[in-house]
Parts: sequence; structure tokens; C-alpha cells
Amino acid sequence: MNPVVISVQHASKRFKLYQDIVMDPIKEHLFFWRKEDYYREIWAVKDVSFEIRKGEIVGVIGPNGAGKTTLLKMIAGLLDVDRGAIRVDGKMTALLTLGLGFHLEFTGRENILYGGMLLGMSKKEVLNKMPAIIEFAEIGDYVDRPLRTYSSGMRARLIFATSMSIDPNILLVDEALATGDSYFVQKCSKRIEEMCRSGATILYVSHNLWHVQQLCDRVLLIHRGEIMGDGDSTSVVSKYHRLSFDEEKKHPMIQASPDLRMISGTGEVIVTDIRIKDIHGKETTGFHTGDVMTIELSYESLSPDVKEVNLFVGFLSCRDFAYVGEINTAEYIERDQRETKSGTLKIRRRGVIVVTINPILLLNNHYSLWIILYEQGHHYYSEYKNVKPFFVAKSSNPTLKGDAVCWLPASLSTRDIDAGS
Amino acid sequence: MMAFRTMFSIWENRELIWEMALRDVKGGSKGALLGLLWVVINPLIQVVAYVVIVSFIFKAKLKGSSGPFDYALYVLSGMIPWQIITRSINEAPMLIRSNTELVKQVIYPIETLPMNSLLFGSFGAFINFVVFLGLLIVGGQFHWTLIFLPIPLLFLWLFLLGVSWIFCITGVILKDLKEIVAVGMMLLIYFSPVVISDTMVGERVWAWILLNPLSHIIVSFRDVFWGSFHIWSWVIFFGMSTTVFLYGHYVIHRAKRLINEYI
Repeated sequence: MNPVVISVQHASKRFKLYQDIVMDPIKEHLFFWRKEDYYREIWAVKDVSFEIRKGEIVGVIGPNGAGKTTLLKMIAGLLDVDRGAIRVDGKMTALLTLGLGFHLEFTGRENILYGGMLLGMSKKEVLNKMPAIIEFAEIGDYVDRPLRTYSSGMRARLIFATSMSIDPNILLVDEALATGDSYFVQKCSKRIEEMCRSGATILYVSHNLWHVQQLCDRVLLIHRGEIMGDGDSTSVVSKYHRLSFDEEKKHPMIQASPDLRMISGTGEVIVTDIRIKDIHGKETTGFHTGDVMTIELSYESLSPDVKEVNLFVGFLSCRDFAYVGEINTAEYIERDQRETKSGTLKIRRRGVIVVTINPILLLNNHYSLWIILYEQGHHYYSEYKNVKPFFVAKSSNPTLKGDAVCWLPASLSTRDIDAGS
Repeated sequence: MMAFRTMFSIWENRELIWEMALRDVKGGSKGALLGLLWVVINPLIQVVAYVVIVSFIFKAKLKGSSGPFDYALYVLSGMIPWQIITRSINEAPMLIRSNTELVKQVIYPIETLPMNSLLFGSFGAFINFVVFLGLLIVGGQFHWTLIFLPIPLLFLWLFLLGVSWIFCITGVILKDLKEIVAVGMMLLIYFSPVVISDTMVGERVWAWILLNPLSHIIVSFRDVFWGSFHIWSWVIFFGMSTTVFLYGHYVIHRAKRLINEYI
């Protein structure tokens, strides 16, 4: 078994949050007998222990603010360890940001030199690697021109190439690969694998689960400063999915307004309550893709007579308020009849409109509803936007790539083609 | 013992310090006409200004017979250490704040940050020292005590490293420090022996001037330049340098990691 190169023993990190960043730290030391009055304690990393052996590629995943970067900085020696101990054996390089020390006025060559030296290489080392870096960056003759004349893609490549030229014994990477075009990301991944084959140990923090699974043999899952999982990448990543589902269900979309406030319309018909229910009729805010979702809208109408109204239900993705789905009585697919229909809903004074979505095909994201009751011809009775937040997660495996919006219902089959015919 | 390790770190990173200084020269002076020369010209112009103001406008006299030329030499000999001092101290409060990227992201040896201004200041001072030497030879006032120059220079560097370490850490928390220091240094030159000599003012005023700790640095440097000897100034200078260096060292080592929580 390879020797342990990073050993983290019961490490904890406390941040002090001060109200007044200037006076409070001074007061804290002046009035030390009641120093707790001047700050709020936050334990960003709590009693974390693990060991990493030589040659391992370990991914670190976890939701935002889980303490991943703090942990990485502690290992890098940028932050003090308040409790416990961290021991690192070997030459360590941390890629916490890219492009450090790059200056627009300098030529590519000069920038490679300074950038490389700030990564901890000696001048001689950088000069030796210069041709390889220039080749890796694929910038050709531009290398002798000032950086400001580069296109943004070339800049990114130059910076990547410089960062990737290090040969550390231990490499800490924080999200650095997340940017750049995919061709180059592939190239960098290859370079990281190459480093590993030469015996380097890599600790890789990322939000890109796909990447982590590709690259890492072992994954640590960090949540609220604690290690929640440590093992092979497939099992830890699926654990992360379960965890984030439970977690996000608890705090659905903070941005969405919880109350029903009409933003436009005549008010002739208003929605008084919206309930989102699961298949068992229980109110919930979290779904798995493929679940049955029922939206119940309680309405009140001003006129006592039967009225024909149109209903529009839009789905807004909370990340960017993109409008990702709609159900509109003017034209919709009636699920059981499998055909496009249009029509109106007949309502009376008071009642409930039930919208059943079976199954919900949206993918991993927070959503909110956009509801409009209207009369054909764009006369709104009432409109509500960004209401009733909920969350949808994929139940098991992550998709191969990126961020699709939804699943598409399909039938799959294969057909053989005979060689002879 | 720890202090030696810091000095060693500066030695170990000499290549980095040097390249970063060169980078500043290239980056900073590319557009400027005279570039690096400003480090030299600025103090020389100040010397000329003081000589004109003091000798011609106020017609103050140094030791009986001496004229404007002697006074110019006197001011220049004080200006040489002073320009190193002002450069370092003025730049110190912003060292970390203007290099947050470096401090935050890589395992950058922040104890080497003050070396940049120290190098620039010393470079300018060196050129001015050559000018001064030329004038001394022309004036026939060369003193053999000049061979001891490395001694006060070494202590001055230790002193400035210490001060810079303390100020760069303080500057992170106390954002006004830069202005305070700038105003302070501007005033301190008038309360130091750079432009004032003991014969220009009475004994009581001179005693006040000696309360400025920086005065003793100037007095000690002048001792080397002019072959005089003020033992108490040397004692205070050495004591102060050692204390400030050790304390600054203590501060930078304690704060090195804490600072990452602040910026």
C-alpha cells in the first residue's frame, strides 16, 4: 500500500463573524473576559478526518457552502486549523484560481514566466517547460505579443497551459477546470490523468459531478462541514443526490415569494390557495423526475354564474427564471387521450381546479409556478408569478452531460439489419 | 531562531522577489517616459528644493561658514536613508491589500512582500549615494568611516522589514492606515535631522527632534558619512531595529493565516 501523503485528523475550522470588522476584533482582545459578545462563531469544517495515499485522485463534492474550499485552503496552509491536525508530505501546489499574475501588457512568454513562478516553479523550471507550454496552449506566434491582443479563448488556453505545466507531488484543484471550452477541458483532464500516472496525488474539488466521476477513483462528500461519505465515486455521488434531494426539499427556492400576490388582472376570478401534492395526496415540495404531481388551485369568482375560463400554468426554473414548461387550456396534451386538446374550464363561485401532471418530466432544479386565469383574447382575470416553489431531482443516476431541462417520453427498441439483405 | 527562518525564506525566494520587482519595473514604467529614473530623481529634486528654501529664502546658516553646497551635501546625506524609509513605510499599508490575489490564492510567502519596495528604495538610494560620493570627492570631504556603511544599512533593512510587516497586517484591518502613514511621513521629515541640523535650531528643539525615533537612523547614517559618532543614537537605532524586526516577525507569522479570513 502506498504511503499516506495527506493526513487530516479531526480537523475543525472556526470562522468568527464580526459585526464591525475594525472595532470588534480590537474589543475582543481588549475585553477578553467577554470576548464572545463581539463575534458569532461558525464552524465551517467540523471534526473532519481522512487520509489520502500517494497516487490517489480524490474528488470532493458537496453543496455550496459545505466547507469544501475551506478544507482545501486548510490543507494548502492558507487557513489555520483551529482544532485537530493536518499533515502533508511532499511538494504541494494549489490551483485555487487560474490566471494569477497574468498581466495584459506582457507578452505570452513573460506571462508564462511570472505565472509559472507564482505557482511555485523556479525560473529555470519555467524556461525549460516554455516550449511545451506554448505547444499545449496552441497559441503559435502569438506568444510574443502582449496578452491584450489575445482572444479570450487564447487567454484561457495560455493560462490553463501554464497552470497545467506544474509537476507537483500533490495537487489541489478547486473548480479550476470548470471554465474553458470542452475541448480544452478534455485536454486538461488528460493532463491530470498523466500527472497521476507519474505518481502525483490529486485532491479535486468540483461541482461537476460528471467530471468527478470521470476523473476520481474516490470521492469525499462534505455537507455542513462534515464528511458524509467517503468511498468509490459512484456510490458517493448517488449518496450526494439523495442528500441534496432531502436537503432542497426542506428549503425550496428561497427567491420565490411564499404568498399569493396578484401581479396583474381584473380580479374577477382569483386564486386563493395553491397546493402541490404527491401521488398520495400529501402536500410536498420535492419530487423525483417521473413522479406524479398534482396542483390544486382554489379559486373564487365574483360572478355567481358559470364562467368559462382559460388556465395557464407555467414552470419557471429558479436558477435563471427561464420559462421551461407550460400547461395551457388553450392548447395542451390530454394525457389519457394522448392528443392535443383545447378548451376551457367551467367554474362557479368557488371551487378547486385540479391539474395532474403524470409524470413530471422536469430535471434537477428548483421551480416555481406562474399562473394565469384568463379569458380567451388576452384578458387576464388574475396573474401570479413565481409562486409555490418546489424542487425536482433525478432519483438515481446523473445524466451523462450537463443540464438538460426535461426528459422526453419515448419508446425504445432495436431492429437488426441482416448482413445479407 | 524563528527569525532566522524568515530571513532564510527571503533568501530562498530571492529569485521570485527579483522577478516580481522586474515585473513591476516593466509593468509600471512601460508607459512612463523616465521609468525607473523617478526613484532617483524624486529625492534629488527634494534636496534641491530644501536647499533653495532653507539657504536662499530663509538664509539659515549651518556651522558658521558653510554655504549652500555644504547644506546640500548635508540634506543629501540624510535623504539617502530617508528615501529608503519613506518608500518602504508608505507602501507597507497597501502591500497585502493590493496583492490580495497573491495572498489569497497561492502559498505565497507574504513575508517577502516588503522586499519589493525595499529594493526600489535602496536602488534609488544607491544611485543617489553615487552622486553624493562624487560630490564628496569634489568637495574633498571624504571620510574613511564610509566603509562601515553596510552596518547601518543592514539594521535599516531589518527595521523596515519589521515595520512593513506590522503595517501591512494592520493595513488590512485599518483601512485608513495608508493615509495616516502618508501624512505622518510627510510631517516627520520636518521633525527629523534630514533637513534640520543641530546648529540651525536651539538645543531644546533638537532634543524634541531626537524624540522622533527615525531621527536616530539619520544621525547614525550621517555618523558614517561624516566621521562623527553619537553613541546613543546608535544604541537606540540598533535596539529599535532589532525589537521592531522581531515583533514584526512575530506579527507576520501569527497573522499570515489569519489574514486569509479577513480579505
